[in-house]
Amino acid sequence: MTARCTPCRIPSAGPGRPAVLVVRHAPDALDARSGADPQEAARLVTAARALGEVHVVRLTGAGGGASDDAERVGRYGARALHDVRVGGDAAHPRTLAGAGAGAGAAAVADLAAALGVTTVLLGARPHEQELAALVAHRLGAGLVTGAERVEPGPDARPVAVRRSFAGTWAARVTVERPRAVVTLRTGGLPAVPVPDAAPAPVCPHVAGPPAGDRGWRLVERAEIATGDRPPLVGADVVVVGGGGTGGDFGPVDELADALGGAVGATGVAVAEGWADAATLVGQSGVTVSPRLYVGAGVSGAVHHSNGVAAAATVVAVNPDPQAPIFAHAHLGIVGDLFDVLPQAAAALRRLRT
Amino acid sequence: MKIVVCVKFVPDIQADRRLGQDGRVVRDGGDGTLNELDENAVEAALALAEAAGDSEVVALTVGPAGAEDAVRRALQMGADRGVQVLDDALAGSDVFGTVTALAAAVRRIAADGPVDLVLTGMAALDGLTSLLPAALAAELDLPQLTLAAEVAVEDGAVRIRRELDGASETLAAPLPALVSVTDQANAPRYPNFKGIMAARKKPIQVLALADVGVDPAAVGAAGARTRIVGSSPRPPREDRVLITDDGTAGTRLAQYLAERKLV
Ligand SMILES: Cc1cc2nc3c(=O)[nH]c(=O)nc-3n(C[C@H](O)[C@H](O)[C@H](O)COP(=O)(O)OP(=O)(O)OC[C@H]3O[C@@H](n4cnc5c(N)ncnc54)[C@H](O)[C@@H]3O)c2cc1C
Ligand SMILES: Cc1cc2nc3c(=O)[nH]c(=O)nc-3n(C[C@H](O)[C@H](O)[C@H](O)COP(=O)(O)OP(=O)(O)OC[C@H]3O[C@@H](n4cnc5c(N)ncnc54)[C@H](O)[C@@H]3O)c2cc1C
Repeated sequence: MTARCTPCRIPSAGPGRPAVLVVRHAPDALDARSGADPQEAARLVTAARALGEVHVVRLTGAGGGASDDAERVGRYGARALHDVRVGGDAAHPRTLAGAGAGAGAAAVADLAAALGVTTVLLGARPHEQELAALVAHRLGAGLVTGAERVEPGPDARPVAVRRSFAGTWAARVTVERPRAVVTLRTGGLPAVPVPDAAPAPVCPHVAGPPAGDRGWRLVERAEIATGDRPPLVGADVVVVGGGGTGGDFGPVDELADALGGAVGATGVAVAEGWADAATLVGQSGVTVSPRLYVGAGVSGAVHHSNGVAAAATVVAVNPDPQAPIFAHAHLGIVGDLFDVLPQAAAALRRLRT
Repeated sequence: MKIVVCVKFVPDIQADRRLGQDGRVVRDGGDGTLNELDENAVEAALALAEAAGDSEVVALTVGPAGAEDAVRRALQMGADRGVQVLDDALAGSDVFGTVTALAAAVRRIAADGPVDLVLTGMAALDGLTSLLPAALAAELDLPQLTLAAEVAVEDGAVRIRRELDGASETLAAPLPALVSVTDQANAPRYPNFKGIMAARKKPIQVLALADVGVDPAAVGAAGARTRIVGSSPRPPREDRVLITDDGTAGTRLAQYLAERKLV
């Protein structure tokens, strides 16, 4: 017998197709103004479709959260949009802080069990990674993080492909439990609409009282101003300046603005005080998975490359042909960033007009 | 205050890292180290213990023979004692296997006096999953305050600040709690000669799974929830284009992006 969603009675899946849950718990980065990849939900749903019938769960605190609408996820083939309000009025609208990650995880795990899903898919931002760990813990599921793709396995469960060691190795991972939780780096994945798709029916849920967070609370929260540029997290285009800028980020900023992208920095640029610590990209800073990464004056140290391994297209500008970053680059330019970047920015502005 | 700081022994990041036929990290290089990011956790533990006075810092690792080097380093920095969970059955553990062993060891450490704080680094430089802190907090049923750029303890509560997703958040929770710290949190002290000498006398307790009451079938390759079924080094990008700037590279870059619809 097919499982059904309790409030709305939507059957979870059709014959021979398992149900798959896509979790949207994406804070600020998903706001339209943020420059985040507006297609991320579509990319996740497209990837999930290969595995089974897709249900999207949208986690929100009081009056906020991911902006996926029913029409949009429906267009990419989602069977239903489950709108889960976590923690009542106490929860921060976007991060759920106040209700806590535990309450969100409990809600997702309950829904996954009720729908009988085999796979839970999430993005790979820090909040989502944590949520994934908690959901897998609750479900007793196998957990694969930072996968670059998922494929249907020999049974209803997925095979995930993930890279390690700064992208130099690829591993195929299967799950030895009835359920899998997978976080996906979506930057390089396609978003393919389904012809003649209808909007997904919306099913409202209210999650139980926050549990498992034992007094975890949000004391204060302030947005970090990034000026007119989009924030790094979730950005579609990232231009990074490194030691080779010698402290002059002018060309880096100029190219980022011509591309409508975010500006990031390397460990050297942050240590020298040329860039704010919040803009650090890599191992100990932000992990990015943009569609386009440009590294200018960046050598490509492992600590840095680890954080950009998921970028779909990598461009590097460096006068040293032996710089390790060229091993990762789709387009490598042996040259001086002070020549190449302003010329590229000017050409891009011409293309725009 | 009693603080347990979790430290991981990892292959040196500069060494040639690879996966074996069984999909596990090949750990034959010998040149492993304390995960660099765990030095920030140790530093945070020591600073909090010094501020509170009358405290104990226990460095805990789950890992194979050799992993005591990571604990030793923490002792040299100033931790009071070490605990290593060492058992052949742990080989091939996934994150939940590791968490099961760590949680059992924390409970064991708490047997002679409650643990107030569990500290971890933000990520291990080999697995790089950053999953462990949240999963360990869930297993121990503790509030989790992750990715702290600042951490302080006052009046039986811990408070952290973190920068995440374009915002600065201050979070608090009553003790006991679990906190993971980033490398923004502090500058780890470098062990001095005195610290290195003192560490020689500090005990490292080695516990087998049986000592902490963990069923060997629940951990290691036997208990792993995920399995690597194939792995290969990725060939260098075949579609790679390398050009030398002849004065037109900027324009060519713009064309390249336009052709790929990246503008
Ligand atoms: C625990 C730990 C964590 C770390 N975490 C991070 C992290 O998260 N992110 C990070 O980035 N780093 C991190 N680092 C530092 C990292 O190891 C490297 O030191 C750093 O990434 C190097 O930065 P860079 O490439 O800008 O500088 P460099 O290595 O100094 O390289 C500068 C490059 O610029 C090139 N160059 C010079 N002039 C020009 C020019 N005119 N035009 C173009 N190119 C030019 C040079 O050829 C050179 O390749 C970490 C280090 C440690 C120990
Ligand atoms: C390339 C690679 C990919 C992997 N992918 C997966 C996967 O997708 N799913 C999965 O379930 N497992 C995976 N694993 C296994 C997992 O990494 C290990 O089980 C590991 O012990 C826990 O996770 P981590 O090293 O990623 O820790 P992280 O979560 O990155 O580490 C955070 C902190 O936890 C503490 N810590 C971590 N490990 C230990 C330890 N052994 N002893 C003491 N403290 C510790 C440290 O304080 C560290 O700073 C992978 C391992 C590798 C090498």
